[in-house]
Amino acid sequence: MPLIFFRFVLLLVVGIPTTLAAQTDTGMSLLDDTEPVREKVQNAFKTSKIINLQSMEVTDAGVMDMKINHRFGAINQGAYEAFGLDNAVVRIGAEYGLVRNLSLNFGRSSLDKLLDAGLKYRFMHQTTDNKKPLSMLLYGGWARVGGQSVQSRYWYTGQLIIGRKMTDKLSVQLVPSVVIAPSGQTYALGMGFRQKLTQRTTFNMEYIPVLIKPEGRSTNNYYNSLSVGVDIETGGHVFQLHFTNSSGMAEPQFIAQNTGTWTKQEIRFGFNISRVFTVVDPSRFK
Amino acid sequence: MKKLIFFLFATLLMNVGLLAQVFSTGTGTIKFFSKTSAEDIDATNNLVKAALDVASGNLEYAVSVNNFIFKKTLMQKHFQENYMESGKFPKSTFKGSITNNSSVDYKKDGTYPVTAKGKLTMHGVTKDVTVPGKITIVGNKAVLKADFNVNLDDYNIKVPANNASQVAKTIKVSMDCSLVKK
Repeated sequence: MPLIFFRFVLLLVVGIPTTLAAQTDTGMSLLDDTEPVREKVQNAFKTSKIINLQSMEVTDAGVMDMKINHRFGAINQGAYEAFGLDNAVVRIGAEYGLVRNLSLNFGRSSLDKLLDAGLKYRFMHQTTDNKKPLSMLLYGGWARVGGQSVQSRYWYTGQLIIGRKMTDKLSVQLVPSVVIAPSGQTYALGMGFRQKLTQRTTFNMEYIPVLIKPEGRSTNNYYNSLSVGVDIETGGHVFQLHFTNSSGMAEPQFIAQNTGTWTKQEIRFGFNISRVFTVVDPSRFK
Repeated sequence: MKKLIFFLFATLLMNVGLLAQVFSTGTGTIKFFSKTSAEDIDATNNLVKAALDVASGNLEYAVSVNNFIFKKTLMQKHFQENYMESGKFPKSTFKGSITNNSSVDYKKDGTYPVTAKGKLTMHGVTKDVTVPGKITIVGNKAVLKADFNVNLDDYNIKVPANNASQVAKTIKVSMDCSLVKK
């Protein structure tokens, strides 16, 4: 009797761990690797602008992004003006990632001899596990109009950028904006998206309807900015080619003082060239 | 009677001992190198998960693609977005075993040449691979080292024609993981 009892115990003691061991052998789960990946969502847009509108991307820390932007004349100027190609306004600028999630930008436009600068800060970064379903950023801009006898010399822009990369291909954004000038405040709701066409090209679109105009402004002078285009990424460059009814490339110009309209073919061809340079080794910011 | 009880406890302890023999880490290192005449590219991942079951020789690795750090952030973005498509395929894994596990004495310090055989999955493609390496036992640590080559074509990773001079077709991978007994 005691012998049988001990055999039984022996079976239990030897047998159970053996079955357990067998389970780990076949279960393919040596690694505790079941929890979902929690990473910050990257590459919602190819660069820091959708077309004119700020995108939810911030220039990486220690990286300099040179921006060379052109807007040609309106295509309704006809063949004599080569459908606008004879005239162009230019903005040359740069963005620099100061630290993670914070970038400084500045530029000079030929239109209005405008000098502009701004800070962009990402305070929420969308994660892959959707604990943070959105990316949220603040943008603050300053602009100074050059030349003599200017009505509104200094302009300020405030934007809340709310974006989400919906899928690998589709990213969408809402950008409530205010543009402040001595002549009054303009409130607008920017919206935009990008849809990837191939691995290195995307289709982009943005629309910036003005919701509240400054008091006393006539309704006929200004139109909402609407732009469509493609991004083409080639190594260190992003080329953005587009059609837009805005000739200005700074927020006070394309949000608050946009004079072109699509219905009268006051559309213009334009492009942005973005070229990044790594200035500081990124490991210093990690 | 006393003998039996002693035998009983001995068996019990042996089993517990065997069960506990899993070496693992969450901070292993994998580096890779792409060398062409135009450009040398390298990246490091210091958050490699690895586990080794001593009794069976079963070996597993899991790597988050986005944890590879490059010297240029643009390269890192291109690696994630255009080459590895980490949104679709966030992890690369190896699941297999050490074929000559019996030749490794996990209780004795020393370096043992081993061969790991199993399935390597990356960019959504799984391939059977055989990788020679070394296990160095130091106390309660097992240091696993291996160098091997990955052919981009095998894993359906496409390099566009105008970048072909900058990205090598065959990538050299170097792995160094220090596993600790659990």
